[in-house]
Amino acid sequence: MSYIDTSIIVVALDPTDPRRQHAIAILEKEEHKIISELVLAELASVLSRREELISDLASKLGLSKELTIIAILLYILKRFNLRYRAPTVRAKALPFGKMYTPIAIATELSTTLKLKTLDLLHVAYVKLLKEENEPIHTLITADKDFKSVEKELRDIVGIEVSLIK
Amino acid sequence: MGSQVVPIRLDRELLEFIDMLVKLGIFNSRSEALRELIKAGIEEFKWVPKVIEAVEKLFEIERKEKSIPIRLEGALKDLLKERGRF
Repeated sequence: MSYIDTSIIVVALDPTDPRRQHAIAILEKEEHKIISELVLAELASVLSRREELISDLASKLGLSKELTIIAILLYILKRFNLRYRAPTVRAKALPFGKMYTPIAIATELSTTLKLKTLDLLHVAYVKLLKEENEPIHTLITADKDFKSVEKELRDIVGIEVSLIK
Repeated sequence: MGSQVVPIRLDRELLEFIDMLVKLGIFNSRSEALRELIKAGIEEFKWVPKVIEAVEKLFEIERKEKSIPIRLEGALKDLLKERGRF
């Protein structure tokens, strides 16, 4: 099973990106693909700033802009056969109080991985989903920062990084 | 439209809340309380069929245009820039 990073979905939706067809092919070929709530949040954020696209689609679909973004997210999930899995809602107790588990894991991993916050959070989701019995073996991405910690991700999280070129 | 009996499993906390509503006289029975609360819940989700229909329309547009109708030119650069800002 592969964890799909937001970046590869964004490449698949960008007609000006030369890797687009490759990204689409990867997304269509991979059989078991999982995404986290962070992917949905990042996609919603990217979409929300494409005002012309959203207004145009909202009028074609007869929906408000908010519902149009939800419809697009659902379309993307269905189009690329992506499975969304939310982690079990839990809080981890830390010396400074309770913390939502993905954030707590990202905090723990930060010293070793030294990734930027959102990248770190994606890794935390992968680790958490693996702990919750999702057999994730690969992180598919277009973000080369993940490749720079490939060895650490293999050793600590037990995943390979597949970077689209 | 006739009604049907549907078995439902509820946790104790939820059932205690339902019983409290009945005891306060807001509803006449557990059955009425659950029926009304389900109706109120359904109201909250009325947007769902519209969104599902819109998703089908997006697939129709894709079939017609022979191309994915969501075009995010240059979005990767924006996404990676945003990740870099944190």
